[in-house]
Amino acid sequence: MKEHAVKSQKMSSALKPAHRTWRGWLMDWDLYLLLLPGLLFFLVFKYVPMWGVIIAFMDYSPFRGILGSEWVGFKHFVTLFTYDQFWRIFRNTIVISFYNLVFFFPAPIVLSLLLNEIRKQVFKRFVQTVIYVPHFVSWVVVAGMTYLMLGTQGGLVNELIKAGGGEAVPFLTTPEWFRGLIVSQSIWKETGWGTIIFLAALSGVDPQLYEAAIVDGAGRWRQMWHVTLPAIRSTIFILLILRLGHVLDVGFEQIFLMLNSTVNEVGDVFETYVYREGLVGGKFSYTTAVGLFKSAIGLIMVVLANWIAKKFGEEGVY
Amino acid sequence: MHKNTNRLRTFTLVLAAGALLGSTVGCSGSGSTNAADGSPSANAKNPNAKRYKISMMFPLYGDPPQKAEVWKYIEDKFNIEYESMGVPDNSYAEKLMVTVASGDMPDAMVWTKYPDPEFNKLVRQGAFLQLDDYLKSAPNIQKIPQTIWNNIKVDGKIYGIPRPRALTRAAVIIRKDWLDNLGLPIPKTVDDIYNTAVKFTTGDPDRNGKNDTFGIVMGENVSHQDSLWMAFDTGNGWRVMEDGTLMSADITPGRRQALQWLSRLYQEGGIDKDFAVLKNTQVWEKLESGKAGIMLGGQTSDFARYVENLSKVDPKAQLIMIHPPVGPTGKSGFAETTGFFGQIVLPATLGKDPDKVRRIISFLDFQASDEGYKMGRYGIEGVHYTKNPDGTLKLNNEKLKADGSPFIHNAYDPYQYVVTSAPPEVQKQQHDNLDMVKDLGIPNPAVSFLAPTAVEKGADLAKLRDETFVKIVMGKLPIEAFDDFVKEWKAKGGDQITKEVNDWYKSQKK
Amino acid sequence: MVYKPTLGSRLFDTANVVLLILCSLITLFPFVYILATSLAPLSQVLRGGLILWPERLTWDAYHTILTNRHFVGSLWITVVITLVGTFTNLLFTVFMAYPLAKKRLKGRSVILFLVLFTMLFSGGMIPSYMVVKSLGLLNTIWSLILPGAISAFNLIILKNFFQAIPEELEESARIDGCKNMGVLFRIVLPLSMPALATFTLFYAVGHWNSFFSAVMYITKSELWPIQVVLRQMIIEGSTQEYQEALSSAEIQVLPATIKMAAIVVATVPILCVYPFLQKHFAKGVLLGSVKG
Repeated sequence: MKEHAVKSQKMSSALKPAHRTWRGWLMDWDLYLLLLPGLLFFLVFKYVPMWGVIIAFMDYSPFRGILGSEWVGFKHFVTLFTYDQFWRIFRNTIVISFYNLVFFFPAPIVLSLLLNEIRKQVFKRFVQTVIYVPHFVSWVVVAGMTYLMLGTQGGLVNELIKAGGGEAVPFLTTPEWFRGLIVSQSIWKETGWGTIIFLAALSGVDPQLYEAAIVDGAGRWRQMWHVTLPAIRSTIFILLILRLGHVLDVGFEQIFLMLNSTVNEVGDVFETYVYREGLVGGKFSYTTAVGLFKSAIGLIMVVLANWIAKKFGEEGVY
Repeated sequence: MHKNTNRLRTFTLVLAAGALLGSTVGCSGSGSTNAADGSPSANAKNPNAKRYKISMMFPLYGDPPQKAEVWKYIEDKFNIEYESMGVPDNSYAEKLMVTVASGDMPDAMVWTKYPDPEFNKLVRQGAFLQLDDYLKSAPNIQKIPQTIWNNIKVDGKIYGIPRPRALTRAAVIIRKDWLDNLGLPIPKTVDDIYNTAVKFTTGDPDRNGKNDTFGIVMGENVSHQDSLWMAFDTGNGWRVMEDGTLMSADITPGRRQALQWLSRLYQEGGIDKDFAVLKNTQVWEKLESGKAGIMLGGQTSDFARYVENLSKVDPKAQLIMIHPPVGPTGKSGFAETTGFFGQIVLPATLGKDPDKVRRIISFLDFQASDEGYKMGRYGIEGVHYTKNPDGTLKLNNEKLKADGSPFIHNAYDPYQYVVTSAPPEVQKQQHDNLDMVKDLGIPNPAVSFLAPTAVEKGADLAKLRDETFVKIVMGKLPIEAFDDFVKEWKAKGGDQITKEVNDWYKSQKK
Repeated sequence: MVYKPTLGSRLFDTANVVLLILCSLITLFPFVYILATSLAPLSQVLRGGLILWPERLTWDAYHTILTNRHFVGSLWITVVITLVGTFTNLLFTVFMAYPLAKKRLKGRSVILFLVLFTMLFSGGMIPSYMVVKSLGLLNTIWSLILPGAISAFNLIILKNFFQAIPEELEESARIDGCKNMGVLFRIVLPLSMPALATFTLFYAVGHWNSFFSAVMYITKSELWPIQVVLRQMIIEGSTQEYQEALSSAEIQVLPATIKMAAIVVATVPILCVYPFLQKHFAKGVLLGSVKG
């Protein structure tokens, strides 16, 4: 399908060599008009408020405002990097992010592929509707349920273990279990929701392509490889690049609720650190600086990922 | 394809209709809110005749107050148009900051955090109005004890009106029926508590044949142990040591002893094994579901709710509040609170309109008066309550709850914690407990002081403390780890903070 | 479609069905817990533990919520916000995604990068608040709709979907005399129904769940959407200040049944949206008909 598209584009460009540029502008004035509301939106609501990032380089006082606050340059960043637990936080954040990438990111893809193979529409629709329900359950409830299932006093799982003659396992207070728990919760909660995009992409696949593949003698797996996967390939890449932009964001509420003093060494991440610091009061500039640092790293990752994607012939984000 | 274009058109039309509808709703909502200063009506001759528009912002913990009878009463009485800006409490801190930064502050705001370095900074930058002179003509507000005023003054001047609360209002709560079932007396010392807790865990006190109970309830970061700490003389925040200097309660010898006591009890099963992951609501549930027998750091007001909920689970259960346990050196009690919860501040820009300020102050003064306090709690006679022949009040709790209260201030009433919708026996228990604990508060000598280093390093030191204490109690670290913790605490800023606090303390004494 | 299922293929199908049933059970499980708790009598709930079946159907919690006047009012507001908001979102997003899907558009890369940039960097709450304030949007529902008119994420993915539509379909429409707008409405949009349905869902859910913006921009409690009102019923706070307020008997703590019923009430309406949109996920129905 992609070859067809490329072919026809080459043909049309061959037809109009020199006049393509100005003809293009003229032909597309209405496209620029269409862009206008969106551009205006981004300008007003995203770029105008962007001045807020300057707070990271000042000792901002909300009452005095930007003009009345003192410029301190990189002081906050120095404070951050010289914080004696900086590497612990950084490491924890990266590790959880990495686990999410390896285990959580592919889950919706796999699930949507499996769902796509179901022929009975009724069953398929039922499962689709059911699996995204956890997305609407708040993290507070998820954390509460986790405790009801994994607590050592009365927790479901541990009661079963004890009934079987074993010793209760302190799932919630052992660092070794923490990361696995976090990723499992994320998978449980968000996989269903994540399949929606892929299912939308898959529903756009031309059934004639499947017919053609079968005529060529392709079995189930080859069909999936040659027809199904390519249909969602660009979506996967885009989502991957976007996710990499948030490499240092691991979801405050979930981790905050599951964090306790016994698992700090693996669970303390940037967001919980910022929250703690913010509790003491008046640390806007510092917390903004930490946020800026996270965004900067994210930007580097995105630019890199986009460049690599393009090198492989894929559509990048930009 | 045509079918789909048509569908698309219908879809668009429906939503366009919705958009029109939406803009009418949106427009009717906007009204004229932004002007926070008084928009005077025609007659401006007599200052009392001027109808002011007054907006007040405060944290909201339930439903917003309704524009019902009480509301109308105060609008008439003070000739104001009252705008109540209740903000959901879990986002209150952010909303406060955004409001200050936007330069458009309401006429009065409740500042909840104390002590707050940001607040002090704002005062010094001139954000809030100085209130000393205005308060001279506010008799009811003046009734607030002097110590509280001293605590909230910044650079010797008053910038906020504190909302008074009783200094001590905690409670030790215990299952009387379990004590009776096991033939145990009411525990008086910490040793008694220890033994009782162990028996509660091992002795099947609820007589149901199952090993599903335990002694002392506790939450994450070793919470809810107020009376225990005081019994071991850890001090509240800072302890006045024998040589007259202050030491942080986190590192006193009493703290070490208490932790050792707790870790031994944990080993014997007298404490909830899962305490490290429990949030507040989960801690209460342990008591309410009949799993725990003792709460060493509860609240008198909560007692009513515990009794009510527990009775639904186990009608035979009996909860009582007892005297806090006595420690090895003969001490007992609870940590004294600041004596207030939040202070009401006015923006400095309001200074341009002293009449308006006076109106606001008189309104707040009313809220602090007996009459105002009763109205805030019980509503208006005939509407929200009727008087019984014996003088007590029959409250229409439903209407009270539905209307809410537009008041943000209150009078000084130590019995405020008696829950008026609870059965009379429970109210009496609460009343008695409040009487008992009134003088059992142990004050924090440095409660109003914020050491600069504490602002910088406080969060970290607190985290270190919590991690260490939790691990010691759980047995993951030996008690000797406490000594290492003290060293680390001192090195990471603790010594600096101690010095700053002591310097301040000395300067206060003269 | 002639298709001879092999043994391996049939095994796969069975295993697939079993796996999906398992997934359904696991994901349905928390909701069963929530639903059961909301319908259980208080005595069962207070006893604690994982409730999966109410001992006795108790409708008290729902009664409390549905008769709360704030709740009913906020329900109406939320519906309006969701409808108007989602329509606004789709309008803005589609209009911006379509041109950006054309590779020949000048400045496309730059614009896309700028859009992506906003996903990573933001000025924060204070500047956003000031912008909304200076536009006079405070205390109107537009403060909940306009600042979120386009989600950069949705925009990028929608652009991607538009790009997947084969060029020759557009070419054939152009030959028939269509301009850009015509192509958009006659070819691209009908073929993008699955994508549009997806983003309708995403945006609608976003509006339905909006909480923080409402608290920041709207102080008139009559205009609060449903999530704000519900969260006031479900007190989760464990902050120091909350403890202070609690101990002064200012708040009534509502039992778990009401918390759960609130979750059900807040979630069920939006859950019903997806089944409606599902029919637009039908496989490539339109591609064939247009091609001919």
